[in-house]
Amino acid sequence: MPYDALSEVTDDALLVLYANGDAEAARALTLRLTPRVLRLASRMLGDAAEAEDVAQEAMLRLWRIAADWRQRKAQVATWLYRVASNLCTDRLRQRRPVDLDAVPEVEDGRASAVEGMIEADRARALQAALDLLPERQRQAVILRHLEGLSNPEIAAVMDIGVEAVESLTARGKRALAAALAGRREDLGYGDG
Amino acid sequence: MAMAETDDDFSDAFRGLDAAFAAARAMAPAPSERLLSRVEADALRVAAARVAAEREAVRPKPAQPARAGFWRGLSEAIGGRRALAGLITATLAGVWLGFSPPTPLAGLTQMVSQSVLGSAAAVEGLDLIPTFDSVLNQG
Repeated sequence: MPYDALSEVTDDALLVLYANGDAEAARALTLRLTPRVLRLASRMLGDAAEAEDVAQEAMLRLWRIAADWRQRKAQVATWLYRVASNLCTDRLRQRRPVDLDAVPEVEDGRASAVEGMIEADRARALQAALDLLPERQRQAVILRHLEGLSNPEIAAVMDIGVEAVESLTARGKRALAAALAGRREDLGYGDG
Repeated sequence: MAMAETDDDFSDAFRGLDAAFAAARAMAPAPSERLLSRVEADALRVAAARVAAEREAVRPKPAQPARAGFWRGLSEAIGGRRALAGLITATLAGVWLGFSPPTPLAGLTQMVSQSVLGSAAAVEGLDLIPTFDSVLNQG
C-alpha cells in the first residue's frame, strides 16, 4: 500500500499489514511510533544514547510480536509505552543512586538574556528535576504532562488504577515544583 | 517572613511548572535518521526471517527420512545396532557354510544321511524336489 495512503490507518491495522509483509506499513509504524518511544525513554533516562537503544529494542519487540498481534487486546501505543517503560526501569535499577550534587544547575546570568535560552534552561531544569523523582512518579508525570496521555491510558500502561495514576502525578508535580522553587529567577518566573 | 517567602517561591515554581512542561514538549528529542534506519531495517529483517520460517514449515518432507525411519524402527525392534550386526553376521556365516562346508562337517553330513537313508549313495541321489512323474509312479 502506498505510504501516503497509510496516514489515516490505525496502528493496529498497520501492524497487521506489516505482519502480512507490507514494507510500507513497517516504514509508517517506524515514523509514527519511534519518536514517541524515544521521547519517553529520553525523559525517563536523561541519556540520549541509552534512549536510542531502548527505542530500538522496544520497536524490535513490536516487530517480533506482530504476527500474533490479533490475539492481543491492548492498543499498540499502550503496549509499546509499557515495554519501553520496563526497559527504562531495568536500566535505571542498574545505575547507582542519583547524586543530588551531580544534577546540573541552570546557568546563572545568561539564562534570562535570550528567550530561547530561557526555554532551553526550563527544559533542562525540568529534566534535572525529573531525574530526582521516583521511577513511578517520573513515568506518570512524563506520560501525563509531556506525552499527553489520559489518566486511563496511563493506567493501562502502568497496569494500575486511575486513582493511583492521579496520586502519582499529583505527588510528582509537587516534587517537581519543590525542586524548581529555588530557580524562579533563573527560569524566568520572577515576574509572575 | 522567611516562611512566607518560601511559600511564594513554591507557588511561583508550581505555577511555572506548566511553562516548564511546555518548554520540554517544544524541545522534545527527535529520532535521528540513523535510528529510524536501524528500526526499519530491524522490521524488514524480522519479516524476512518470519517468511523463511513459514516456508520451511510448509515444505514437504523428503522420502529419504521416512525410509531411514523404517530401518531405524527395525533396528530398534531387534534390539539395537549390536543385535542387528550379530544377526547379519550369523546370516552370512550360514550362507558361507552352505556353499563351502568344512571337511569335518562333510563327514558328519554323510554319517547323518546314512543313518537316515541307509545308503551313502543316496545322499547324492536324493531328489528333494521330485518330478510329477515320479510321484505318479509311486502311486
